Amino acid sequence: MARDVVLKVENVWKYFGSVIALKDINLEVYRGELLVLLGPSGSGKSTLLRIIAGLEKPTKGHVYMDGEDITDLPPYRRDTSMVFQSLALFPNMTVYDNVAYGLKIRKIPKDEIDRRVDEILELVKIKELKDRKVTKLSGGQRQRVAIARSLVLHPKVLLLDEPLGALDLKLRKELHVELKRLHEEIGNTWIFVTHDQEEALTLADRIGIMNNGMLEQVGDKWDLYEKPATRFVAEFIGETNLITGKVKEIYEKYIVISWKNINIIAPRVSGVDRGSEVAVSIRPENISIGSKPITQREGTNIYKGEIVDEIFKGSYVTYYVRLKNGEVIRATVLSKDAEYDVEDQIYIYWDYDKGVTITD
Amino acid sequence: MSEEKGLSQITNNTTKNLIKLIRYVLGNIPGFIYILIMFYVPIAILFAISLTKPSKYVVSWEFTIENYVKVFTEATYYRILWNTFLIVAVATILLIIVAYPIAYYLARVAPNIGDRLLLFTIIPVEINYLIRIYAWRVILGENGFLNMLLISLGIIQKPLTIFFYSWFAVVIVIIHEYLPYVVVPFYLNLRGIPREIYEAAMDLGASRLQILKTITLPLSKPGLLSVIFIVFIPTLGEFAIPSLVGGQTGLMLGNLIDRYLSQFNLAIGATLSFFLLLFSILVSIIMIRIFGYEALYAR
Amino acid sequence: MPNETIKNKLIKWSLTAYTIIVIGFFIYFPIAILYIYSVNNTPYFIPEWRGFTLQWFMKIFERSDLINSIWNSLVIALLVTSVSMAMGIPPSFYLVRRKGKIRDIYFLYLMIPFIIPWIIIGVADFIFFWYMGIEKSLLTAALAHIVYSIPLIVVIITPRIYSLDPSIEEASMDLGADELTTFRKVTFPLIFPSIASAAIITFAWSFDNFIISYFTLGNELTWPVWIFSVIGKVPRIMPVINAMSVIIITLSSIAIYTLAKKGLTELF
Repeated sequence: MARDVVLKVENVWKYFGSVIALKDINLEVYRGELLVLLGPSGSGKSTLLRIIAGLEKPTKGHVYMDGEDITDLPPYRRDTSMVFQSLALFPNMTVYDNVAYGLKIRKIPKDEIDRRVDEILELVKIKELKDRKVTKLSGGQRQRVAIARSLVLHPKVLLLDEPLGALDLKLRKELHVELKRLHEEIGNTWIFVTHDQEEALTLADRIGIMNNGMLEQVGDKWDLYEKPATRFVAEFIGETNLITGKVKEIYEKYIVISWKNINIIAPRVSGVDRGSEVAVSIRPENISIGSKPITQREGTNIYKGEIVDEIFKGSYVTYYVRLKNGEVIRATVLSKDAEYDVEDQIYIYWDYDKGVTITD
Repeated sequence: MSEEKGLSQITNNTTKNLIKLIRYVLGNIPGFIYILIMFYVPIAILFAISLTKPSKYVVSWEFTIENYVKVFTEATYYRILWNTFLIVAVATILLIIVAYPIAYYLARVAPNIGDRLLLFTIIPVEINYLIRIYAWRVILGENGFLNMLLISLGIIQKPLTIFFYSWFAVVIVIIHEYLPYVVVPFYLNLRGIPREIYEAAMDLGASRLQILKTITLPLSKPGLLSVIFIVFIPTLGEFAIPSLVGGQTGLMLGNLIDRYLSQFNLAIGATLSFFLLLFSILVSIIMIRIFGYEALYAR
Repeated sequence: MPNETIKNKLIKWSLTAYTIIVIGFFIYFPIAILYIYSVNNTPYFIPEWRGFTLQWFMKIFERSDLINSIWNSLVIALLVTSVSMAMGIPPSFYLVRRKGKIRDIYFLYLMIPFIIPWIIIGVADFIFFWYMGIEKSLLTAALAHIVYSIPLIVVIITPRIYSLDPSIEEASMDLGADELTTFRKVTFPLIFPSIASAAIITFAWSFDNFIISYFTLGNELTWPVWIFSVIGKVPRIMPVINAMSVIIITLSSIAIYTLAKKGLTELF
């Protein structure tokens, strides 16, 4: 399916002195989507955002907007607008002056400014604070001002750099819902940077996972969750058991991996040779537990093990199961089905197809 | 038992607070009394004497407000008062205009070396200021550097006398004297503005000049307040500079006060001093009213 | 866009040039003059090079009045610094740690001598000493200096105490240290940099102060007042003052620079 690409990042590298901040980033952003760049701090996600905004110049590579090369354009010549981590509200101005700032700079007539500011303040629900000084606002209100200040310019692409970072959890959750609504109502393209995977999963249409200056994988949340391309992605999104071993045998659909004296069968992927090292990611909720081995069931990995720990997490329980090779596997079970105790000898099993073979 | 313990805890705390309070009081008493005896009592005496009939070497103790009326009605006084205000106002405004770009340069253009450069701006200030005033006599004098330079450049034919022993010389030397003190508060002020604020303005479409006008300058207001306190008010009482380079046109209030004190005409001297005190406090109050109290603490 | 880069470069270069020219002319030019004339072989400030000489430096030792005045200034500055530190540090703590009306009034009480022109302190104390029949001397000048240096110290130290996290002291006391030990081992080391810079600034200020000394000194003069008394009246002495100034400038610049390098940047 060919999608309408509004912004394209092509082979972008960024060095700060001898430190590599970004390595060969390629990214296509679709019109109207909310893309979240997710990664730990120092992964380069903010740098990438600043390059898109024009606040940094890439060392190598190009940025295109609607096919036009904007790599060398200063921020004020780009149809992007940024919401900063610190919000960077102008402390000497009122809410109105902050929001109207970009419009005044563009010499738009006063009555139109008023109209547009009112409209946007209405949208972010802070119209009554119009004449308040921004230094006299609460965290959530400041947040809304910052977003309104950018949105009022109707940017093609709105960039948000961890704008909720300073807020407490409850307020963040409220604002997630708000942001989602705003995005749907306005319908322009948003790129949102965060290190919080829950935030990413809540907001995103698609997520780009960044690590060590590289864009590891871009996709919708189900793709990332079910088909992680790299070990980092598998571990970063949700919980997983990551098993690494050497490929022993290769069949038409499956491969056999030797993992410390245990054989594991996982789906075959291209580029796998006998003897090469691969990883298999199995989500804890895909692993079942039984007190008896389910023999003769086709396409299932079955192992005997002992429960060494259990952690109650409300609606489900995570069991830590030690296999005979000494390794521990996590399996989660709904609380109502959690009938085992520590030191119980049990069997764990999962379908071959539930494993994801990763070759990075 | 636990109740008892709680009670003893409370008394314990009260005792502790009391001890703390006593310690504060004891620690503050010397300073308090010192300032009282060496400042407020002398100011009270000064004020009392300013209300007496002028008489040399003695205080007449005949009360009158004549002195204050005189100061505003007799040309000898109010001309110099006005002159003082004018010199100081012009010097302050020029200082702000001259110093602001330097502070801007140190804080925004060369932030990595700003601190070190600032040091080089400040070091000379720690040098005796009378000798530096004298150095300006050498530069601005009739046969001084400036005249020689202008003559050798063919701009003027014979030495100009306007540079020296004038209003102009006083202003120049005040600028020299106070330039670092004006750069520093603006510098600290500008450094305190987060980079993201500028980036946000740029991102919203503002050019360099527009950012300066809409963001940087308005946010420099606390620096302006410091300048009023650091330059404007102290120079109102300047005495050495006008004495050494001021001549007739550069006479200031300080010279007048000195003249009356050295003649032991204390009543007039006291009146002028007390007027200066009131005026300084008035300016301070106005500044705090305009810029807000918290600006006093703003660095 | 190359256009933008050129414009930015242009702004940068013109600001650099401006800074160098202004600082050079207004601040370093007169100082350079002092240095040049301290080794120029002429007692007059004629714009002419008459050859290198060290005679003005030698002549410093022939002027006992000059040496005396330097000595007097040092004594006063030392006295002023130690006394006003003792009286300025406790109020600093009080002003930071307490809140309320009394505190605010006390703050104003201490700050008024600080914000007004120095000449007022000089004149008020001049009249005070005269009225009380106290003979003016080095001591009376030092007493007048302290009126200004107490609030000066408060102004330098309070921001540092403000930035001090009170929980650090609480933690120390919680760990069993009594208040005195806490102050010695925790609070004092933390505020030491500001105390040190307060001491240095007070010393330099007192050493350099002219106007208060001018009104409150007796027959013994301090260095600035002595200079004032000879400027323009004893022409042949000017190069000697130059030489002495060059010595002071050089020594104090080195001292400030080393201190600043060691991290006492809050000197300013």
